[in-house]
Amino acid sequence: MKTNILKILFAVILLSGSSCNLLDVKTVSSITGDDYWTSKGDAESYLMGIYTKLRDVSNATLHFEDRGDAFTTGLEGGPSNLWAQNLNAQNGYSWLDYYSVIHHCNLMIRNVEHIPFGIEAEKQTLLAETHLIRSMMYFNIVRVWGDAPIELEPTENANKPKLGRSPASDVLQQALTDVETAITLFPQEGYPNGKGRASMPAAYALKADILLWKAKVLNGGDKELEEVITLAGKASANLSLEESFGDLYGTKKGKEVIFAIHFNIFEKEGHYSSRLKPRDVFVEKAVNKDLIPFAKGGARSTYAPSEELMALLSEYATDQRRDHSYIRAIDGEGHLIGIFDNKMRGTKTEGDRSYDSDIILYRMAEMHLFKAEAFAALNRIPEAINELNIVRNRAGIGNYTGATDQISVEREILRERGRELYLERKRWPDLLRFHFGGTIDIYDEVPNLKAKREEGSIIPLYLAIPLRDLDLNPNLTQTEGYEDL
Amino acid sequence: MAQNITVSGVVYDNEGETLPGVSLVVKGTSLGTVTDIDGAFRINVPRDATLLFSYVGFQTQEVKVNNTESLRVVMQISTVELEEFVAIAYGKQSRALLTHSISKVGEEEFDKSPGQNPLLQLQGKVAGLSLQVESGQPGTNPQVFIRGGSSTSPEGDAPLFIIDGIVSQGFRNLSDMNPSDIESVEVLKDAASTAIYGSRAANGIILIKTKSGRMGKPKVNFKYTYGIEMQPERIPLLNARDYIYLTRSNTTKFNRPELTYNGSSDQAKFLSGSFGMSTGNPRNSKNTLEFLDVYLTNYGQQYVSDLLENQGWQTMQDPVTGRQLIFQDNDFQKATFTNGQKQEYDLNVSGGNESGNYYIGLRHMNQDGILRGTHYKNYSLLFNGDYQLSERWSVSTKASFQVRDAVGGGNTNNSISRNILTPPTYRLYYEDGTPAPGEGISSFRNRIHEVYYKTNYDDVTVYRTTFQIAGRWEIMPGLLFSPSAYYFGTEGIENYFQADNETTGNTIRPASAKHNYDRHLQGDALLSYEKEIGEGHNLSAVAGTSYTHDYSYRLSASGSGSMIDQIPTLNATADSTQRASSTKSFEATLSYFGRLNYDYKGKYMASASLRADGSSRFAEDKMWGIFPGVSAGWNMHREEFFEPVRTLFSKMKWRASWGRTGNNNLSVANSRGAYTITGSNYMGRVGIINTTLKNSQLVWETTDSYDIGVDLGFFNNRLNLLLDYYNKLTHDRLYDQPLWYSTGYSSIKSNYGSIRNQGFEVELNTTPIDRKDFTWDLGLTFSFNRSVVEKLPDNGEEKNRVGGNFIYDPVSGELMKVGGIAEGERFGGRWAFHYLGTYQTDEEAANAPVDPNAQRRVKHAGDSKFEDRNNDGMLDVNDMVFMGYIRPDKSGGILNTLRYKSLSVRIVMDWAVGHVIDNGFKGQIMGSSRNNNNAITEAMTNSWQEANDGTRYPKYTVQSDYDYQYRNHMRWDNQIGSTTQGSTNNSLYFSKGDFLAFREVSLSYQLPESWSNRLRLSAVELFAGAYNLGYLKRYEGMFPEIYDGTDYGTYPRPRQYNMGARISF
Repeated sequence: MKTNILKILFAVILLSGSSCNLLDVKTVSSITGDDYWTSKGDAESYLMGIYTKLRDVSNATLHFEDRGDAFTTGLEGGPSNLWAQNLNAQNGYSWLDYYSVIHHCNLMIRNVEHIPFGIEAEKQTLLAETHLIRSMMYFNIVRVWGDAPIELEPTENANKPKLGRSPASDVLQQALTDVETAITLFPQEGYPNGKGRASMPAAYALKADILLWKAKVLNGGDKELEEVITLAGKASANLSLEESFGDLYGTKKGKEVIFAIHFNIFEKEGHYSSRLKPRDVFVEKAVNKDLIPFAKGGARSTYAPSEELMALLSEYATDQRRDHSYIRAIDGEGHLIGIFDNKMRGTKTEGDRSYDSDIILYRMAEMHLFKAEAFAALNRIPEAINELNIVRNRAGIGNYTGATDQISVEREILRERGRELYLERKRWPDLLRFHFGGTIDIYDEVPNLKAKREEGSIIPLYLAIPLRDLDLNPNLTQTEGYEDL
Repeated sequence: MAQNITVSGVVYDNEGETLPGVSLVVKGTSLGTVTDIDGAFRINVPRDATLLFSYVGFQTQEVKVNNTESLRVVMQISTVELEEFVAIAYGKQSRALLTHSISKVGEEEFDKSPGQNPLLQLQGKVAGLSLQVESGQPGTNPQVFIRGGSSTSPEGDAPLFIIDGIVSQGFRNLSDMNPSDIESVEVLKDAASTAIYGSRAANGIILIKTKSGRMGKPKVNFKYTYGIEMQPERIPLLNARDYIYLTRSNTTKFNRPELTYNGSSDQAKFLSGSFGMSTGNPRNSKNTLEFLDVYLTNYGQQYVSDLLENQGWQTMQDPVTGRQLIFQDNDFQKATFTNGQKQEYDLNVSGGNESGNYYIGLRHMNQDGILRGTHYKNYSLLFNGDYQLSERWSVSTKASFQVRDAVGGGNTNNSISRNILTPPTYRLYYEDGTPAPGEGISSFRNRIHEVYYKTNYDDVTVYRTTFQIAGRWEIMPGLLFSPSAYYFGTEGIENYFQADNETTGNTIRPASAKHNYDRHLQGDALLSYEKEIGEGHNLSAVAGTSYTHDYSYRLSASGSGSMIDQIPTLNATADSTQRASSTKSFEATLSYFGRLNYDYKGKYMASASLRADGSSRFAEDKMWGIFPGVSAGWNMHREEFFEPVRTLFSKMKWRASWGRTGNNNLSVANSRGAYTITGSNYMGRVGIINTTLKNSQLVWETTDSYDIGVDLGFFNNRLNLLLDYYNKLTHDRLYDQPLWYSTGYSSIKSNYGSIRNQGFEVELNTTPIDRKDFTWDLGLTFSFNRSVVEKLPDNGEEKNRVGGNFIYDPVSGELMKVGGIAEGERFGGRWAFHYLGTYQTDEEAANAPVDPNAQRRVKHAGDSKFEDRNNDGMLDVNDMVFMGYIRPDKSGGILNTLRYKSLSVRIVMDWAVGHVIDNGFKGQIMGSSRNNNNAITEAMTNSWQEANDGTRYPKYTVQSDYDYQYRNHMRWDNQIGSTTQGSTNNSLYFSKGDFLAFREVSLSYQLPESWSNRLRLSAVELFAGAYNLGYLKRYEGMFPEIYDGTDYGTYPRPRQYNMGARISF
């Protein structure tokens, strides 16, 4: 009897002895934190992960189009509060998505150090791309919220220091430092990995953009403007403009493109431009239905091109860009059904249409306009007009013949940017830059801002941060101007 | 009058011990007494009297006096039917000796259950158990939680389910089980009873035992049930004529430019565009509305006459133009719901002898859902067998196999609340008889179209297999070793396809398939010992170990672009569209446990248990948790001093317990961090991203709870009452701790704060009427639970509040912060804008406060008037008012069983009070949320049309209240309202959710034995029942059992009718 009991006890002890192994289960289909960051493949896969997140945060009109003057309301769905300038301290906007990308970049920068790469240049390219993307995120944040925390360490637990908001100039400086690091790190000029990936020319273009902001919004000077001209030139090396404006979005990463986020129906759905497109039912009665880039699914015309935009594009009868920017749907009796985007038409497929235009971040035409803007700011008017004319002539509207005083030319550059870069997520920052640069008063330009001012509310140009964030991080302060809203 | 004599005697139990406290009464009178401490009694009775002796746990004895003056009465221990045994963890125990809070639901509740899921039968029958049905889809698992759960969203706090020893979190091994195979369900509520299951027991345990054979010749039961399910209540939607009248006239009335926020009007868009109320639809298009003269001109008189005479088309005068309109009236509600029929066959065979017993259960059931196109088919087989191998060894085996073939409604929000609202002018069928899509959107459309092109191709089958073998080795008398091994596997094979139709977009004929496999392995070893030491000291001990290992595998693939409808599988799809993915995951737990039970003469009981659990979900040095439990009980009625009150109190047992249980409700990713494949590629390359933050400091969430209870029996246990008070403190909560956004994450899993749940429970069972031919048994349950946040990490806020916002407090005149979660407060509160009615004139509306929610649109007559609580001229969060809590805090059930001869009738009701519901579904309809949906009668009769018309609702605008920023119906949540889809955050749509549900009225009739014997059957029973008959409720919506705050059009629990017969031989 006793021996039996002993046997059982022995079995129990045996089971307990092996307990550590029994609880050591494998993770197969995802990787735990301890096992990552060991090989070059880990870093390369992570970079692709960062690009998918970059695509996600870039695939929206909210921050860079809605607040501008290019949109009016469409056929269905409500416009955002940003469009309506219906902003107050209660409905702050989260910067989580941008900081999420920043965290991933920080994690990459921290960990890639220790990973051996066979070819050092590959590691440098990877780090350069990461820095460039982080720079873009800080540049986005500073343009939308102004002051913001500068997070340079990856988040590893809840004990991370709760950073307050650094002044906008410091945030912009961080964007600048990052893009400069990228420029030092890229081992070569050109596009060795294609235009869907960050490259040396993309870094030049981004730096030009940042410096232009610095010059006009944050008290930069002639030095920055001159560098913009140089950088815009370097970013354009070996590129040429598409002969026809219509080819721009008809091709994928054509000869004019510097950096475009890759968009493909099997990788990503819901292109931001679908918010200015009709569902098929809306245009069923249109006589020009075949010309309209409608879709059965995935389209929702929340917004439509605004009167202001259409006036800009109608200024010159010969402007090629008008018909390549919007289209009116007209029914048999001549009534207007609606107005829709016609720039990012996507691709007609067998069953439907897929909105798969690449999200172009920088292209050569904008480099000419950067130069024009910098020359104009430096009061080098003939050179500015010269750059402006390059863009105008491609669009079929001939040379600029208007007034040549600085303010008129600067206004014209802003108008030209409106025509050329409509729906390319440039309008709101353009308006801000020319507002701070003294060319316009943004409160006169944007209808909803104007209306609010007439009601007695001056809506701040930077967004409020959410109350939730103020609760969770007591070191944060609310954006200026929301005290009485 | 017979002469009296004095009878005295002694009552013994079957082991020869005297029994104190036995009640005896003279049959047919109230005359009686109780035995003293030595088991002796003395009573003056008629000479021919019959005495009835009764005592808890023993069979009632009838003894004829027959002039005898001295009696010796021996009471027999009652069998299982009379003395209730209760399953406890790793064993069973007599109810009389139990020191825990355990509720038992017996097989009679599952015998003829109408539900496809046995759990539904628990509703209202167990105090402290909350059961929530999210969908009327046959076979759906309800959400179950016990005693308020342990988190701020208790719906997810599912208890641990243990079926014949197999442990699994969630419903995996319960789904698709045949209710008739269930012998009992025990709900273990207090921590002392669950602590021996340690981890995962924090949310309580539901123990389920399947039937086994009994000694005797083979017994065969066959049961056939036929049932019908139907939509409980029709939504009062408008017919086409009313819809056209209302929408077209209101468009001209209210869609004027000065009434909109952007100052532009688009009446033409509605009147002649592409909406349900728009004209301009040619023949055989999706919509039917057009001017009559256009049809006559274009298609001729003959065609139009045919429509009007044979196709059910109608004409009416257009309220806008005065011209005649022609249209078809289609009923999308009827197209969505149908009556579902059920057939069920159930056969079981059981029997046994000295060397073994067996039970075999077979069942097939075929149930159609009330949502058209849905069904649930189930085949199940269960074999339980026990064999006595030798004097010392026996073995028990179980094998079960279930097949489930079920097609659900997919996204029921779309297929119910949105399909139904399709304007009635849309076609259900094209001229050639094929289904029309309604509006033509793929996500929601005419249900007939969806079924025809999509649902009919759904092929979803789940196979569940269980094997278990357990040995019992009686090493010596009282010492038992029982090892067991379990295998439980679930394999799901799913195929989906959509035939070519006009709603599919870029993906033509999409096809997809899934193969899921889940495997649970478990090994237990148990050593148990029972011994009586000295006089009356009973000791039993259990020690054991358990190991579980879970593996889950997922394979899914999709493709499209097939050229034909005939092959719905992936092999016909175009290579370039094919995508596949597979994942594997594992986890394991290892446990050691022990328990000691002691009682002295059945009067004083004590029990202690301890468990150590290791879980692979934690970091290596945090894997182990220790979970103790202790309890004690006192059968006070067995004490000498209790004698004077024994005629009234036949039982009084006190119980007290304390225990600690754990929760490992997290994933490996939370403790070790996760790097996962991003949902999409970039330029054709796979990306990986850090998706979950690592928190290596995570430890077991623990719940400490105590329970004090008393079991009372009155009038010789004709009335039994169980009372319990409990208090649970859950600390180190595993919670998604919110992070500030510049971290790049919105939350991290943390041990965060603590929550207290306390409450009391009452279970009452009585037999108010007990006659020879007629009895009435009544069972009542009641429970009250209060959940409060106890402690949160310091964050500098008052009460360390997380979330929430400021409202105006009229008492102090100050702003105060409410909502979110805060120390000392209940959670689940909701605030909303306070609806005061409508502005009757534009002048009145001119003084309306500024409304940022409505884009500061100028208000007009017919707009909602919301209270500006702090009179600051601005409608904002400060003006929101408290509506109530979203979860009921009191609930209960009422169970009546009436028997007249061999006819028995059951009437079951349950109720819950204390919650509020935001009728988002109604809000969406009244707010015309999609510009293109049908309205309900109230939009026509009870919404504002002109000054002082006494209507309740604001003006009905065809333009969406939400899209066009009228915001008369749907309002911002401002962090203190609901954020779930469809929430209105408008007091107009809030109402109390209190309800009394008429759950069951059923009857069964046992054919007289002489009849059934003539048929050579041992018993024949006929039964019929009606289930989910309706509610007494305040709530206007269909379904008041909504505990997440918002009703956004649910798949309602169907009303069910059942009838059938059971024969036994």
